[in-house]
Amino acid sequence: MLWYKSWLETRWWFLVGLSILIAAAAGVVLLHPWVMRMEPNLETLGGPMGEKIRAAFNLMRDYRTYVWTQWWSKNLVEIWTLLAIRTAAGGLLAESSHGSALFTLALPVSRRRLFGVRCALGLSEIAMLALIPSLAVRILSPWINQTYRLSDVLVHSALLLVAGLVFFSFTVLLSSVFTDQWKPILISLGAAILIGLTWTLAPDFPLFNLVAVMIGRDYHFYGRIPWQGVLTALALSAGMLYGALRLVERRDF
Amino acid sequence: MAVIEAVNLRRNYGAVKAVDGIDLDVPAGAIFGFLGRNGAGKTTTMKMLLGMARPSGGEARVLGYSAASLNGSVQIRGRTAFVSEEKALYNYMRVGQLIRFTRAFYPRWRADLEQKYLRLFELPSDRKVKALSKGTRTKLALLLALSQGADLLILDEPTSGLDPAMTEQVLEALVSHVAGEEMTIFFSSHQIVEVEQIADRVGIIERGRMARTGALDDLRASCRRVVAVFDGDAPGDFQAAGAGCVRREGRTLSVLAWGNAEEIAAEARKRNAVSVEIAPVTLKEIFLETVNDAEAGGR
Amino acid sequence: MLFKPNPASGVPIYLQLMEQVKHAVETGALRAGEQLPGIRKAAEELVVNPNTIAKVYRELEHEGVIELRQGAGAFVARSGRNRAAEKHRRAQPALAAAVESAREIGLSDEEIRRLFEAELARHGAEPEKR
Repeated sequence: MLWYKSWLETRWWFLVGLSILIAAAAGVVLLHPWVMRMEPNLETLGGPMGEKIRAAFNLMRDYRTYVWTQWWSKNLVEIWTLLAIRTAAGGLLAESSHGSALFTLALPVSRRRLFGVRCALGLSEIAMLALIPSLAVRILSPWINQTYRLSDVLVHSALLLVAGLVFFSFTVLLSSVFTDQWKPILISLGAAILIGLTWTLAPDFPLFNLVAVMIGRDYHFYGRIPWQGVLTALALSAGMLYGALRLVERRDF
Repeated sequence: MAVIEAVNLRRNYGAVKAVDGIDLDVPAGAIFGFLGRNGAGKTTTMKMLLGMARPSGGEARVLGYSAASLNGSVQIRGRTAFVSEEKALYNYMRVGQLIRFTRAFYPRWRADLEQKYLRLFELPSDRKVKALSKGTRTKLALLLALSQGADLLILDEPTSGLDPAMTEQVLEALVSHVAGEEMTIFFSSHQIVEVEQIADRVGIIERGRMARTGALDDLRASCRRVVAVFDGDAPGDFQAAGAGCVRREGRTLSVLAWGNAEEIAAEARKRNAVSVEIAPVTLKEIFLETVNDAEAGGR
Repeated sequence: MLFKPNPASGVPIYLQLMEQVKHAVETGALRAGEQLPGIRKAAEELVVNPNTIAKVYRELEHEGVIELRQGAGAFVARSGRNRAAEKHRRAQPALAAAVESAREIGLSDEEIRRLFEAELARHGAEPEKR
């Protein structure tokens, strides 16, 4: 029943988020032919800017690369990160500002279990949010006479999930410190935006390896899975989740 | 075996001693009324018994389990029903949904009591909790507590915010429950009259300490008010062993006597009181005198 | 049947209820052999602690006002065994005379009541019950 309760608390964001992502996926796929039709117009663009645009365009002629630039490194990673943060917020402390925390705490379950179920459901939801819309890309691609490999869907989704877990865990940690539901969201969001913005400026800075892993850069270009980044992200996430659990267990309500 | 046992229970929040050495001994089948002013430490004590807050010192055992241990407190909550002061429930659930949710956690759930209180309290199964009035929410919270098949009920101000008719309904449900099931009730209240009506044991807490505790009948039997009238001004230095609050007003001296009204009356007569009367005392007076006493530093 | 006791009066609830039962027996509202409500039912109706009802019945049995029959319940005692009623009968004339003479002196009923209270208090608190 704890799963049911957590589901009731998160289902609207999940369903809305899922719908938006599926729509975005469809958009990415269906826009490809339209983008390709722009080709003749690009010939007329002059100067270095024109060169850059034609170069980018050439990259995207390859459908796989197109999907990578538009879906994995743009639409999906941006929207998904917001949703992951939103999903991670909530929990016992937020309940205490609504007052129902005492009701939940009066149930004959350990705080460990309360925390665990909520986290597990959240993780399942963000996994679905990464996987399902991405499968939609694969499913819809034949409509425009393209194919997209299932292995790409699975590997990229997994990389996004594992690396993006850091944002999820960070929000969970903040949620075990602040009783206000919005502070953790705003702080995490701020961090995500900051990282996202500076990533475009200095992609090789070590911190931003996280973003590189999330968008699966190494995998896309070199077929290489960035194990170091993956393990670091997992370790960080595990640490933050454990810290959050200890904080919740020790808290006095 | 006592259902609730606490020895020197303490809870500090920084420098503030919210609970400063409380002893509790609540036997099975008792209805224990926990009286105290706002902020005296009633809610904090209850939270410690239920594992919602950790004691800073001392020990508490509920139904034989240690309240401070993680496993112990899960066991305690499996057999104890709690209704908090705010009676906050999940706003987004419907009444029926919330009942089904709660039921899943208690293998000893009493479906017969659930039906009984659903009818008796006239609770609308389809309404969302957030649309319920405070009174209805209280009744729902009580239904959830009474149907758990619990051995102990801990209630924080169960009738606060209720009109007299609903209050009576709630008290009746509690009394009926204790009479029919093997159950103990530990409740806090500001409504002293209510406590007097249904409690058989009371504890008065003031500034985190248990100022007075015991069987209600014993408390009322041992406490008397001695009123002495003097010819001139009442003596300002009236002293006697076991005297509680002493109040002077012109020629009248009023002393709260704990168990030795006779001696105090005799002392008053020795001081040439013109008239000495011994009168019984209500729980409300006992309460007010006790907290004022504790405040003044006496005990 | 019985009235709800007043918890705010100075008199303990169990005493109020005992008085009510005795009064009912005297006025004939309760007759010898009639059954009193069970502890649980009485507690529910009057909204008092069941232990209080149990105490009331115990004390009334001790005074011979009622009998407790195993498994059957509480019944009003036959007049011959009602020691309390007997005591009341014996005390009544002296008290009636006292009230009569106090009224002759010109005291109001309220004043008479207070004097009785003071007298009772002067002679010590109520005897300790078991």
